[in-house]
Amino acid sequence: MSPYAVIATGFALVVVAMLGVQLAAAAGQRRFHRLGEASHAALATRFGRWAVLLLWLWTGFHFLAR
Amino acid sequence: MSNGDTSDPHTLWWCSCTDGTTLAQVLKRPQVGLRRPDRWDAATVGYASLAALFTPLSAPAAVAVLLPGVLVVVLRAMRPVGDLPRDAQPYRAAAQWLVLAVVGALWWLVAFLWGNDPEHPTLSLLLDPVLETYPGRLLGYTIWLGAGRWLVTR
Repeated sequence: MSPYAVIATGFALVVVAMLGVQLAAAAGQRRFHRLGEASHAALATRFGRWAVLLLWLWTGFHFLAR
Repeated sequence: MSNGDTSDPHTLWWCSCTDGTTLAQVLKRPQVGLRRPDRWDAATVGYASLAALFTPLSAPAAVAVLLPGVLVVVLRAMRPVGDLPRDAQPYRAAAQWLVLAVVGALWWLVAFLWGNDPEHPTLSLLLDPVLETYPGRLLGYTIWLGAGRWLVTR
């Protein structure tokens, strides 16, 4: 297995895990929580609010403008 | 769609619920399914369709990101954050997603330290072939702007 495949598989697994948690939470599995719930919780604090906003801003620059 | 283990409903795979709900039924739920598009959705897609014309690593692309970026930050700073839903578990939710984010960041670090080249790509290098196309950038801008709108409206 090439390094490219190993790295791509790792990223794919992380994305699948995130989708799994999101869908499990939406399906009513109480042990899982939606990303929106976590983000909303972060927005409720000053540090969390700026952290989330900066992360969002960085994502835009990094993937769309860099 | 379960993994076959029915002894503990919480161990079932993500699309199989305690009450046997299917993935299709989950997707039809209001919090998951599509809502009626409004004027802001149209504005988002309209802006994304223009911004996606600019290729990455160009000044127009930087401006196209900066404009809504500043707008969202200013609006978020001016508006109070709404209350969390009554049944929300903020610390558990934040911890769960923080773990996933840290795992993703660590894997990104592995790729970066391993080479950060086409043979050892980070996530941005992996996505470059997609974001080099107009449809890819259109999708990227739409998702990013949608996330920004979501952050402002909480």
